[in-house]
Amino acid sequence: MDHRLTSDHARPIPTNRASRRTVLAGAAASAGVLALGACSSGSKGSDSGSSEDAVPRFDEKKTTTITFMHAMSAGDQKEALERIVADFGKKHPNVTVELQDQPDYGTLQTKTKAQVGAGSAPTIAQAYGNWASEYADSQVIVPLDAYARTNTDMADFAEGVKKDIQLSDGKVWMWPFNKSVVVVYRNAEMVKEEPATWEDFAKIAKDVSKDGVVALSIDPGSAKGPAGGTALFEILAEAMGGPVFAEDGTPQFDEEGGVKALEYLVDLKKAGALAIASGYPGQEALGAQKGAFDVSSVASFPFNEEAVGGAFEMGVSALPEGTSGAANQLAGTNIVLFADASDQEKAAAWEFMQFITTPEQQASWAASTGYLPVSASSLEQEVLKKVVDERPWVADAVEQIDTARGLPPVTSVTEASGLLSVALQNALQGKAEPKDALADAQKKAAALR
Amino acid sequence: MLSSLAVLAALAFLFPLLWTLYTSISTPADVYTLPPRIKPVGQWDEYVAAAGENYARAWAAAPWPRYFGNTVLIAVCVVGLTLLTGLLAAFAFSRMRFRGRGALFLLVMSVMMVPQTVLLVPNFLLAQKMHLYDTYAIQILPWGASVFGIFLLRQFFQTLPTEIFEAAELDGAGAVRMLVQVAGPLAVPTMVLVALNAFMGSWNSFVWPYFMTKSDQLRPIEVGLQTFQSENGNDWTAMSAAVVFTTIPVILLFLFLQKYFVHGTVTTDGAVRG
Repeated sequence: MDHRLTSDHARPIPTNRASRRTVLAGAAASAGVLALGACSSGSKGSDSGSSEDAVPRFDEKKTTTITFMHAMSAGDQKEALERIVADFGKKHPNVTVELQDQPDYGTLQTKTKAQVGAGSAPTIAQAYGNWASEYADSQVIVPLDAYARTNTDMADFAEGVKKDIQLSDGKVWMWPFNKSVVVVYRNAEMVKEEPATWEDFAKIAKDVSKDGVVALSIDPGSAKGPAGGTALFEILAEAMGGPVFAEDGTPQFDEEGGVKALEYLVDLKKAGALAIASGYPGQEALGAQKGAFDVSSVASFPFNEEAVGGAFEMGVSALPEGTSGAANQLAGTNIVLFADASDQEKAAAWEFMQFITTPEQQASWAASTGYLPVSASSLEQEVLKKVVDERPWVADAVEQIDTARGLPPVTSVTEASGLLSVALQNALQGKAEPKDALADAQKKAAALR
Repeated sequence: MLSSLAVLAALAFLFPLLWTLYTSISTPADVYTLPPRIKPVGQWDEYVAAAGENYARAWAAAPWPRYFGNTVLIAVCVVGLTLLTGLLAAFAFSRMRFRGRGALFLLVMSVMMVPQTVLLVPNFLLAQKMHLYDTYAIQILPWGASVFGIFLLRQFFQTLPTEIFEAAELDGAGAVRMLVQVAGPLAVPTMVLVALNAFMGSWNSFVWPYFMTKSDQLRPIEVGLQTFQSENGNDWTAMSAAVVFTTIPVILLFLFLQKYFVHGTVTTDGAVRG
């Protein structure tokens, strides 16, 4: 994924829509670097006018087309999303939801920004919190506080989700979509008991790493962007002393948590219990019975199950605890609503966004894709009950949404995470000591703010 | 000795193709098994069953006939335009005298040094402004001139003896006639090389059509292959099956034209009498 961004906090943002587009277009085009830039300091969307307080009225009879730019472009995810759209179409026959799929999150972000810059933003799009922060700074999305007040399902959302859809100003700017947490997949024939602590995990990993088996494989990410290994490191840091980002996005890479986490991973690597590669190395090694664990998203379940192919029993369990307790990362994206849409499009899009988070649709979505439903009440739906009967750990994972921490929704976090990936690579490849690698990344990340 | 090396090299190049073929007839779990367990002849029922499932799944995943038709249309147009612009530019750069010729040629060559990724967003904005977004035209026009093709054809034209152009001039031929009736026919093998290069570039194009289009009706095959990749894992077996049936046309084209491909640089023996 390419998460590189630049932002120009010094440039005042023009207030009219056409000028905003020009700024966006110019910023993106000028150097080929993607800059939504143009930040109004502090108050996000403070001058976005009536849209902040008024929810446009939805005219059911009016023929309307809305566009949804997303990266759920493959396999079960694509089918499940198309099913949601079809179900919505049955309920609202005059509204057409046009899906615009992108191959991955990196392209999604790039194309969303390019389209916004060109004045042809989609009506809605998937976005991470830190992307949404950038969009909000540029006033190209609308705040959803007023919209959210009209929704009845929100009260039932997991607390973690309610927090995740807000930006640092405490306002709702996003609507939840595909949420996940990280779990441990293991070859249950190789590792009988699930590890309770990260200390246990390391001991087991070292014990099973012999005869061509390397217990865990991760993708540490690169300067272009973080990957699954980066997320694991961030989780470890929180479990071993403290998160790598403070609540406001301030990097604290070289503090106790980060250093201990990186030393932990380097120790595993030196003991031959950790390998690094790109892509989905944990999944592939687990399937090939060359790895004992895969630490990845709950949404990896269908792919891991397929990779294992019934060759052995695959165990799934919650992440082990560290010296500072349990930690997990709330991942996956939310949906943002773009300001360029007409009132009727906004209203239709809001109907669609709410439709996605109804317990019925959430249950169906979760059962098909492996993502987690945003509200516990979805677990009472028949389709999800069946899933939980087969995979009891899903219910535990849903509970973890409340305690899992998302990365701070701050623009600079994207690039800072890339720096963290580089530090991870340098330390794991023996090019630098963990502390030095993190100190270097910290220095560069601090300069981004 | 040389033959053995050639066989080894051929096997090395064939390996990815054979591996893709093997993956397309394997079960998902087999894909991850290392080293691969090749089943003996007589026990290939599993391969047949897996192949049936993989190919059926792959075929159902996307509108392949439409993608195929789009890919052929785009590739043929790109090849035609590339040859047209390549021949005209190369002939001008090699055989015509005009002010600033060298500088202009260097300017054209310099395009090769700019990474396409850097230009993606500006090009997208331009496409939007020109109302070319989500059209066949945006997948054809920007690739209708190949710097590599211009370079290759120019090099070829420069190797042609001056005498044949002087003879043509004596016969009253102008620049266009010289190109069409003298230089063009001699350049056919080089043109085939340029055409193959343009065809394969167009056939394999992924990021550009994905970025510049939004409608399935306009997208090419490579975009369809994305159907098997997600943020959480890949469906390697179906993807390999799709790769097999989408690569076959390119392989057939290569086999059909390989003598030109191999002999891309031909001489002009016989063009001038000694």
